[in-house]
Amino acid sequence: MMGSEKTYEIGDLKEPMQNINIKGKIVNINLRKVSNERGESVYHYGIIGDSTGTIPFTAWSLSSSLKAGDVVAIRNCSTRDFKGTIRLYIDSSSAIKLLPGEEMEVHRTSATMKIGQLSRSTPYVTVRGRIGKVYEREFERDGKKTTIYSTRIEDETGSIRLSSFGKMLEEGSEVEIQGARLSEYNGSLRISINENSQVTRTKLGIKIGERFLDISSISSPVGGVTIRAICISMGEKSGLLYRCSECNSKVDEIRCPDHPDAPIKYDIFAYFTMDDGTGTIQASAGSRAMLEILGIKEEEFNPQNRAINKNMIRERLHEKVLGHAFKITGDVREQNMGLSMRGFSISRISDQDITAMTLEQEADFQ
Amino acid sequence: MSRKREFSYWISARELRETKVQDETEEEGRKRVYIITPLGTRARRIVFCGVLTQKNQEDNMTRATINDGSSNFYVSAFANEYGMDVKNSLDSIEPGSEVFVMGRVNTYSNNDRLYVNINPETVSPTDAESRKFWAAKVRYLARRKMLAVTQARKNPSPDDLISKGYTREEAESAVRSVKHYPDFDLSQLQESVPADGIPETGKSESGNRNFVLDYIRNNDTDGMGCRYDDLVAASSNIGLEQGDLDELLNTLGSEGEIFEVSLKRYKII
Ligand SMILES: [Zn+2]
Repeated sequence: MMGSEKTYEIGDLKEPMQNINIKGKIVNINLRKVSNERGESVYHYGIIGDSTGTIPFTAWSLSSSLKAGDVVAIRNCSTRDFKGTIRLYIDSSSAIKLLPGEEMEVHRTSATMKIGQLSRSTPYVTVRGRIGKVYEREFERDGKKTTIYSTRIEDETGSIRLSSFGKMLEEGSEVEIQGARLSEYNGSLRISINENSQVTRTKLGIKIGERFLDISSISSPVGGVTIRAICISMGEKSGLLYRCSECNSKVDEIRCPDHPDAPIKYDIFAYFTMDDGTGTIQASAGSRAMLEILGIKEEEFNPQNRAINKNMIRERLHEKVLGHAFKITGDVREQNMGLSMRGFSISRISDQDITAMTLEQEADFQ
Repeated sequence: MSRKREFSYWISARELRETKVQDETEEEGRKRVYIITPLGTRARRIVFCGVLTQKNQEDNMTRATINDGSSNFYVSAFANEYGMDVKNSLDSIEPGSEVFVMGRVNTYSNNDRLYVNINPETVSPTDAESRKFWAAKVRYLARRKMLAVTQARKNPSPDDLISKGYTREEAESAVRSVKHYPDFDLSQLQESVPADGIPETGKSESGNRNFVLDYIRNNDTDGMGCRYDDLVAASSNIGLEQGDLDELLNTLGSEGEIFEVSLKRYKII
């Protein structure tokens, strides 16, 4: 394939562009496995930059010996919009040449990203969104008192946990945060505001509704999203479990070893596979999300009620969940087994949901 | 969790019925059979919802017909070590009920035609909304794949399709479709699952079945069996197309109702 001889600076890239050449330094590079009918295939993603800026990339054919810090010349790559963010694509027609010994300064921009597109490959980001309910607590370090504001920030594409060290956040306000630090805790992404970050009040007027995702498009631990899918299998460990009413920890017997006098309370652990025709994801949920689906009233759900037992809950999980379609809203988490979803609200797909989905689909074909 | 889950595909009964290609490969020293549908989907496991229209329950095997509004899925559940639970689930579901199935494709050929039936791994009663949701999603996925195939017929390059916004899966399927079904008339899948996909209740199904059985019984004129060509002509008069007739003959044959005494000659058992 003939390409142009011009080499673009990364700061000049727009989308979409075809058959372009760039030269840059790999800022970071990660490997991801995807499974399809052939089993597993792998691709690389990360950030590449030069003295004019940085850009995230996806590469389907890349030597796995490449590492952060390598300077490379790439011919015949392309750019495309990926959900509001410009992204560089390297495919089998691209040619990559390692330039050993070459030095390059990378201008580190904190790219403005949609919340749904945040991933571990972008340690510093600029996000815009609306602040949720704010919890304050005092924190003392080296004799200095700081207030930590914990909340969530959301836009049209997702929501994420946010903590601010010292900088006040107000519920319902719309802000732009420049230079927020992205980190991961227990498989979930979160961002934090520190002395190097800037928070500006803005008017975004974002319309936040349900954020529907195809399962195949979930590639990072995004928060506050909704999937519509059918439960194709129920995990064997799903069922009724007992918790200590004092310490809330899970107990195997009828009393807690640490609090033998404290009564136990009931909870549900449901772990199942959801499939929407584009892919599957493991989902889990507790009693708060599951009780209504299982047809159990909150006030009935306690150890005094003899009608509720392990067999009954397992039967209900199979009868009411397996083979049925649901709308699940929750956070995607990344753990060693891959991506999974913790559902905080679950409802059966209704005729209105199907109508809404059909309208979205029609829009996709316009 | 220990076992890696195989990918499962959502395809309509009509797309499955038009499937003429199977792909045998060897994985980990074992023979694996995949089907390649006219839209290029390469599948070993599928997921579908529909209405159970017929069931033939025996001790060692239960056969069921499930209609999704576009055509029939044929399901066979065996009473073996791995299949007993699934067979019991299927046995407990009454004809006319909404049902969800996940299963493996199983192919066999007859008269140069490929037939696909399903060995279920999970069978569960479901509800009308779940079935409609499945149908709406299948329609959407199939429409995207058809557009990708149309595109791929001009330029069968996965990378080109991906740059036009198709997923890798869609792009690779489209290129497979061009390779295996270069002349397939896509318009016949256009309305493959009707919008409100109201599956047949089994009435016309059993009507056709009785018609074919009666016809074979009454038209064995020379004692050598009823002629296939006569059957095709008679069936077309009642609106039963040749493809559907073939399928019905095949079902009746495997259910032991009829047998093919010689090439294209049928008798009632
Ligand atoms: Zn305790």
